[in-house]
Amino acid sequence: MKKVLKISLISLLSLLLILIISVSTAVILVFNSNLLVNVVNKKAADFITCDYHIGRIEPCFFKTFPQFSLQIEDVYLQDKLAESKQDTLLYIGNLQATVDVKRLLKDKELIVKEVLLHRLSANVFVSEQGEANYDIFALSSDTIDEEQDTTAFSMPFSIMALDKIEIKDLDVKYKDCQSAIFASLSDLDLAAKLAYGDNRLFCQLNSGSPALSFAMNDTLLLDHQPIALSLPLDLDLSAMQLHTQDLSVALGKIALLLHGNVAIDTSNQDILTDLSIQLGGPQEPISHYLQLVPEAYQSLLDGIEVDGLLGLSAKVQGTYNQTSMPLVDVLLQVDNTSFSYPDLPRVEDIKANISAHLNLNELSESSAHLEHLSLRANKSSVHASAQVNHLLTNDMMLNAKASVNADLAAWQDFLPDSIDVNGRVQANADVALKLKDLENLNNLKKIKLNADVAYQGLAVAMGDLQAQSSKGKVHMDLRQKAALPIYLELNDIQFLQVAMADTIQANIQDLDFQAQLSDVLADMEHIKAQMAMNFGKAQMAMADQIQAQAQGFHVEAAADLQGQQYDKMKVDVKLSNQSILAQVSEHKIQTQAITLDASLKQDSLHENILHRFNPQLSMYLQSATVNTSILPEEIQVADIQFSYADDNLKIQQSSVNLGNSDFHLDGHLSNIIAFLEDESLLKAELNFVSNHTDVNRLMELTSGLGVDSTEMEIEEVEMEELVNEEDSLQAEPNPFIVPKGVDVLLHTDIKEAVVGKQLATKLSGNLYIRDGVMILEEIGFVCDAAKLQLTAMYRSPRPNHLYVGLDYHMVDIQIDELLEMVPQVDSILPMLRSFRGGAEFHIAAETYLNARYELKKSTLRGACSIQGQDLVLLDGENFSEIAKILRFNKNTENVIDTLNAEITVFRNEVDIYPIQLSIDKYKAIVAGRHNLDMSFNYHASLVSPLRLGVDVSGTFDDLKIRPVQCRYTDQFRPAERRVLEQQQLSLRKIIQESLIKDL
Amino acid sequence: MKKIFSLFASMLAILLLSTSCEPVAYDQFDMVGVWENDDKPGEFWRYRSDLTGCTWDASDDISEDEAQEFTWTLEVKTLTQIHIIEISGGGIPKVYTVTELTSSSLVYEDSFGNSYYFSRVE
Repeated sequence: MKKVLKISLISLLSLLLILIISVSTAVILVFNSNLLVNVVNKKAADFITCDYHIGRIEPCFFKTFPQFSLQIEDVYLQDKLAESKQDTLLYIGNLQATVDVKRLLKDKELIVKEVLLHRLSANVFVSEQGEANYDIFALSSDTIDEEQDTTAFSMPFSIMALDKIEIKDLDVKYKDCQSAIFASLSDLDLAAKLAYGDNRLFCQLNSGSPALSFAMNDTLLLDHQPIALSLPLDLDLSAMQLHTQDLSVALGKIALLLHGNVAIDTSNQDILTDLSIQLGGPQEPISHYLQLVPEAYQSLLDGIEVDGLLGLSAKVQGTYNQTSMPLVDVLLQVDNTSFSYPDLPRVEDIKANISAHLNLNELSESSAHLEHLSLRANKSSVHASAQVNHLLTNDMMLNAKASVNADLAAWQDFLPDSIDVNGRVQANADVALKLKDLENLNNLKKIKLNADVAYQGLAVAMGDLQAQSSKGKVHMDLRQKAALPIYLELNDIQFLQVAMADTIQANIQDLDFQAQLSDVLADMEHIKAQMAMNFGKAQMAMADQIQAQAQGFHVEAAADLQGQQYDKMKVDVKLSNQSILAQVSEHKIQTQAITLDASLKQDSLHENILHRFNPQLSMYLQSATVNTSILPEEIQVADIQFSYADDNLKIQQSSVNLGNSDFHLDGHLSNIIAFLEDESLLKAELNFVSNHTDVNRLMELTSGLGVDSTEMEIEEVEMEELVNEEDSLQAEPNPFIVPKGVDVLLHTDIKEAVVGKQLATKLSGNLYIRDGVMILEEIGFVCDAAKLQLTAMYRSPRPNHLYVGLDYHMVDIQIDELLEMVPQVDSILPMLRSFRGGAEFHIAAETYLNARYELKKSTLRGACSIQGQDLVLLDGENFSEIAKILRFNKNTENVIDTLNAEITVFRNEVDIYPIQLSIDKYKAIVAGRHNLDMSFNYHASLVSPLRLGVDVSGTFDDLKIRPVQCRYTDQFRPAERRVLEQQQLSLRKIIQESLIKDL
Repeated sequence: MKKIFSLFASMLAILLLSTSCEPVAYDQFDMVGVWENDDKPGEFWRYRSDLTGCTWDASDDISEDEAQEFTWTLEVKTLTQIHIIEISGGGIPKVYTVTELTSSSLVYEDSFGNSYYFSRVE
């Protein structure tokens, strides 16, 4: 372009030179037109290398005196380049110039009154080789260089002025094949005034063309666009300062206005600028800008509909040199603008005010400011403001605020079909960040974000998942300096409902939620989180199997996750709750208050869940009820406080009602992990303190816990058979099955307990339950019949085969009540029916029972001892028969002074070892066998006062009594008294061994 | 002398008579096997050669695996069984007099004159 300008300048100077020569010639030749044409044609040949033609030169001196006027017509320069394919380089239809001769001659002032150029056309062409068709002058650059005047330039005139220059009907075509540039101007009109004085040059130029075209690389960038120029210039040559006011360049409907100063500091050649630029009007319709978009790029705007007002202005101030650039301030204003694009929502009422400060000397001081942005779309609106500092650097910092009010339903069409949303959202966000931090999410911690979202009537559906919330607030905060920089808060969630298909439904009322999270994007291998949640009420249901309700819920949790798969995890949870109702299938728990303090610390080396997570918890629960299919009775827990740590569960206190039993339980459970892994028994040692315990019911309730279900199923078949065999009206056998897999020791202290049909009081002692074996160790109690102490073992290998071993001591028991309390004794020792009074009863025995707790007589083994004094011998038939034979005194009271019986039992055989009885004056010794079928075979030896023997056999219905020889003497001492003691010792040994066998 | 002779003769007669009434001695290893009570079908007794045994009553829904153990001896014709309380080893003694022991039948009686008849099943 410089070359073009240079050539153009040379051409203009040459034309002026020709003009001056013509004027001079005219003066010399006294205005002879023909002569002038000849002279000019002849002289011009020295300067112009192309063919040319000058039609007419008409000087006028006297007519316009004191101005001199010259008119030239039909000037023609022929294009000498064949490549241009045109014959005219330049054509001037009419040129007229007027000079004030008087002032020129008198005052040495060059006053050109006017220069008029009409009907001008030019075709400028540059070939691909760089040859220009306007290179027509004979003056070569070499010549110019050789004759270059090195003296200082000085104006030959004190004043120079060009009052008027006017060009009309100028057509210019420019084609540069080398640069692939084509430009054309049609019907250009130009009017200018130039004035020079006091070393100042004033210029006012106005120009316009209705059709400016410009193409580059065969791309038409301007197509017959109107262009208008207004160049008011004030050049102070002494100060080397150019000033302009309202310089205007209008292309199409867009005008560029410029005013200000440009000066050159002659001391250092710095260019000092102070310019204001306005593109378009302050409220220029955007459509005017769009009209300037070249046809080639119109396709980019296909579908785009934009309308509105746009204003762009700038200020350039400062020094330009090799090391400094002026400061630039840009202001962009958008107003009342709408925008639409297919498949995007129509955006309306766009208002924006954007300013930028560009400092190319100190990039960090460059900034951009979005003072205000507002828009509306789809019943939604956005307001935003932003500040970008350190613009043009890699360290750009953004501070932005945005407010969004959105109707989510209106955006439905822009979401995937699987998502359905409704509701209204008001969101406010403040963000401060370095833009480079967005490139690497690891720097999330460096981003400061504060966002608040308030919503109403929110409803979201994603496939089977549905969520609804009437009202709520969400707050999100990225806190740069916090250890846990990500902060999320949900406040005032009045109602939140979540549903998944028909399987899960949950709703929460009055929810508050706070969560803090570490910079997860920067470090996914070490995540820290804290959470706190409150809600007034919550309900959850899952496939009619799981239901839960909670009120007044507060939970705090903290988690520290490390490792590739978070195998080093630590979680702390604190929970308090006013009430909970949870139901899983047939299991239901309801509490009035619960507090929980728990922590987990994961150790991935272990597979067991308790070993792996090492939970530690402390829990307090108040006014709870538990209903489970495992236990047919409701468990009522007035309160319970327990803790778990290091495989130990400690019950600090508990108060429980189960059925019509109440008890306080405290103690500890251990070996839980080994129990869960089926490696060992669950161990427990508990204190069981009760005011009232229904032992029968408790045994029913705990029967079969921990027993393999397959074992039970097998037995069910046998049970059915048993039921069929027995009276169908009887209740289905449901014996107590001792829980397996546990080793429980209960230290009991029971004020009163229902055992069988007896009410026992002051019951105390130890109860062991060890892997299917239940042991009562020296359980002492008092019942109506006697003071009792019981050591017993109960085992239930299967429901229809129940083992009972017992060591039963009953002191001062009423025999009739004993028979009522333990009816089986009547079967074994029917002779006891003949006695009434207090006695001591000791028995050690074992047997198996069927499912109805009936003796399997074939398994019965035992020994017992009965000691009594002053027992009343009932006045029955047996006594009468014996009394007849023994000739008792009729007045003799039927009281036996002493009874000391030792008895063994094997199957249905009850062997009574010799018993010494004293009645009346008689002393007798009785021994024999009694069978459980009520047959017997006794021998009685009367040893004092006379010796007499009698055998009694048969049954009570068929009694056979016959006198026989005495088998015993009065000196007889039973030899086998130690049998009972031996059995008791054996039984105690069994129990001891059972208790320690797994220790 | 005559009286003295008569006395010796009487003593000799008594000795001879007593010798001729000496009880039959049964071989205890003939007891080894399984016997079923003829009067109580389902009641089985297993006598092992190591002088242990077990008994069970199938009519009480008990199998041999659940049988109760005892120890036994048979000296001449006195059968002594010590019924062991299952898990202790202590026992209830029962003494019988065997009156017949063949390869297929066993009969013994207790001190009350009750006889028990068994047939070998193994």
